[in-house]
Amino acid sequence: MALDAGASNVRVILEKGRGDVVTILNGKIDRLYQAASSVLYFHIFAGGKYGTFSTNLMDEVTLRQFTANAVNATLLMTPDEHRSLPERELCYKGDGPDLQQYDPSIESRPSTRGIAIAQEVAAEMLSDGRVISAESEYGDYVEEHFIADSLGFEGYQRKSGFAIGATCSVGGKGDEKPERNWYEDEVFFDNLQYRGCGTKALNMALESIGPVKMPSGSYNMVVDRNIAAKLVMPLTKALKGSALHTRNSFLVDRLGEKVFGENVFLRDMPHTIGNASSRLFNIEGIATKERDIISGGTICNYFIDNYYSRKLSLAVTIGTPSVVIMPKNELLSNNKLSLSDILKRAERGIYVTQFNGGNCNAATGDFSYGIEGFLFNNGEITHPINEMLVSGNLIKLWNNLIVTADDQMKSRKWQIPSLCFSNVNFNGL
Amino acid sequence: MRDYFDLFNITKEQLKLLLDEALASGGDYADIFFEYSTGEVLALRDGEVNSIRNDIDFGAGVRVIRNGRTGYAYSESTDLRDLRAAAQAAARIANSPSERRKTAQIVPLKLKNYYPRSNESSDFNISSKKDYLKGIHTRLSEGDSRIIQIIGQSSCSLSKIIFINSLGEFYCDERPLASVVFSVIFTQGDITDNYTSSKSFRMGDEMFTPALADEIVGEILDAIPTVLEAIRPKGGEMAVVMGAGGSGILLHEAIGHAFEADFNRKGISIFSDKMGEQICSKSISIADDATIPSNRGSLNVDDEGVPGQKTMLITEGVLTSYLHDRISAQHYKVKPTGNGRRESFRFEPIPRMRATYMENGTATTEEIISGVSQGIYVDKFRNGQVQIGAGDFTFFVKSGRMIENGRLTRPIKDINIIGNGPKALADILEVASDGKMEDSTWTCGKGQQCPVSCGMPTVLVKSLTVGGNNQ
Repeated sequence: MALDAGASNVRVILEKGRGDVVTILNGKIDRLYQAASSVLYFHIFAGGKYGTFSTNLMDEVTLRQFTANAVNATLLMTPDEHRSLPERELCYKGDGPDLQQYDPSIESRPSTRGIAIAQEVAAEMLSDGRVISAESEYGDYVEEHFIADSLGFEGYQRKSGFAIGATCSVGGKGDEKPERNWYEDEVFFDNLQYRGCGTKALNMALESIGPVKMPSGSYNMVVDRNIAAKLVMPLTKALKGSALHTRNSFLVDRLGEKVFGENVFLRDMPHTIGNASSRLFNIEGIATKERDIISGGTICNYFIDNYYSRKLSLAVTIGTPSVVIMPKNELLSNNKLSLSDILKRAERGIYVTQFNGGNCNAATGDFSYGIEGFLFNNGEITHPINEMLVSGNLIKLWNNLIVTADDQMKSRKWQIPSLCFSNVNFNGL
Repeated sequence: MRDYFDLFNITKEQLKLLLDEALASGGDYADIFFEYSTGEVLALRDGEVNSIRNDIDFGAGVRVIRNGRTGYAYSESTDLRDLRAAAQAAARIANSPSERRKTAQIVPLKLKNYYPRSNESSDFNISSKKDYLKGIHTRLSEGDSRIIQIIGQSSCSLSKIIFINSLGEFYCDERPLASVVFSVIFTQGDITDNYTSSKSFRMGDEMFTPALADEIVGEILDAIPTVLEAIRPKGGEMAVVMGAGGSGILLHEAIGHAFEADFNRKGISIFSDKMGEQICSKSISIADDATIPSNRGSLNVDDEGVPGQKTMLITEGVLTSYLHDRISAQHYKVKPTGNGRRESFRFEPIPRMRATYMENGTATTEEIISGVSQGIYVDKFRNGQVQIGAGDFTFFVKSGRMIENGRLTRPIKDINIIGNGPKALADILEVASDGKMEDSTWTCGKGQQCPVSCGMPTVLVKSLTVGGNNQ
């Protein structure tokens, strides 16, 4: 239709999804939610002019009118010579492995299973009299993505997901009501470790009762694996073609340079089996492959999609990371380390378990985040802390990495272990 | 109204049938929210408007409530068979078919219009918007040679809505929303930094005026030398003077979320047992308001049929109301306050803020600043967050100045500020008479994305913790 209407090339993406969610509040069903959606995207190329369009109205008459309007709107844009479909040799050829992202059992799941699981998790939290509110939520979904373009690329991906979350509020000192949560998600239902989620949320909330504020100063910082990705995401964002092109990146012009400590390694692993974020091709149809992002502190690759490849005269890599892992680093330790081990290694400092807001300046790498967590001394947690901030620069921070644990969660997109940094600037009293 | 029924290919009789179906399992209440949204985004890169995005989203959501519990399902088709399936799915929250209720007689709500559109028939089109964006680009690039990149964007959307509930309340609404955002990257010596200006209103194309372009260009060109000169201050606890306008983020994060009654109904808000108590100075009154003409947070009616209104959260220092949807209002046995909002037909409404602001006090900005010997003044913000139960909130400051001996001195930037909601509120010592609304593109992300706004006169907070250097 788009070609008939005057487009020179077009990419079409059909996304379909369906899912169910049940929420249990204090032991009773609070919410049942059912979703089912389909969206059709068009990326229209018309003589260097470009537009993206989406609709969920898919009868043929409406679609024909929609695509005609889309092409007409695209033709009003100023041409950009760098807009085009990618070269065919870059595209996925259908020869990749089975990423094992779909659990067929989702089609025949018992309708009451989610309720029973969420109630079991809620019951774990309600076992303690100090609980003010216990909320658990179970959800499962199926997503399908089909991509086709006018030069012949076709790609299909189907994923299932099963997730359980627990949120627990407890009565604290005075008016405080600390709340903590825990979640697990998996592609295959049988891998979902839902038992114990409620207990984890409950224990985390209880442990955070009675926080104090520490004096401002320089501390060793251990960042929990649940939130460690927050310190990695600004790095990958700064390596994206869009940031490099606008020079709104503190890592511009630093490809091949050793910018971070020699113990810093990051790798994009798009073919990780059984991970929901794995993919054989990106939205442009470009085949993914495993790449080092940072190795020994040196920047190995930017994230360059087809458009920014042409714009920046750089080779295509991929526009965004898929599954980011921090591989085991023998420079830091030959042994398998737990969170407890790295707390001992750091001896004294602040163990950050939650970030509270904040931001990072993309152009400078300067960051400032609110934090909650614990003070530790002699490797042992002594008491909770809150209402503090951590501020600094990401380049300096990642030059101060002391050690990492081996506790990354394999189902996550960001498989970052608990991290330990030295001499980090905290603001408090 | 006829147009709306044609748009969704539905009749009033069918709506009543669907509501009866939704109540079939014994629900106390049911509603249906039909939405047809169109959006257009034009992007300026490298000096040219060279990409467009256009989106259509269509569908209807059915909600059933039973004893404060929610069943929700939606359909992207308004075919009666699909809508009935959604109604049946939502009805599962109830399990007492013998208590089946009937839908009341349908009566259209009488609503005021808080987003009148002045030139619906104007010929301002894509080409006009391209010229508008390029005009701003030219003025910026000619205005400061240190600018190395300019990124601009205009955005316009329109949502057409039919709502009906089992109480018989019915409305049609048409909600426009437009914005302009410009970011610049600039460099001087070995310093490279950025600055963003955004403006947004519940308006259509009539938003794109020369005066608005002047405002954006002026704000950015004024900011560049200040940002280049800015440093990070020494961190720690200190007095913070929050400038008029964008400092309303303090209200949004420090108290607004904690006043959303779903958190209070669950007992998890730090303010959940403070109703009627004096929680701050008598000089402080705070409102959440849907009635400011063309404001980004305004609503003629919320997403569950409650007319737009102004709600006083704090009156002369006393906590007077939470922000309610129908569920929390029933729990607290009060009238809903019109805060039941949703991102789209795919979501059920929950209590959300609209335009949240503090009313004027009597001090002057000069008096407030001159009374601070050591502290900071902040006036531009990027984002914020709150921990509801603990009450700890943060907001990220893009720009401000140090205050030394009662005078504004060196510019500061890129610091997070953290505080505790009840304490920060109680620590507001002075309120100026210079209140104004902030018209940036604030979007609140409490599980669902909702456009909001905020406002504030200049205030002095006795002590907050400021991120910065320790040297």
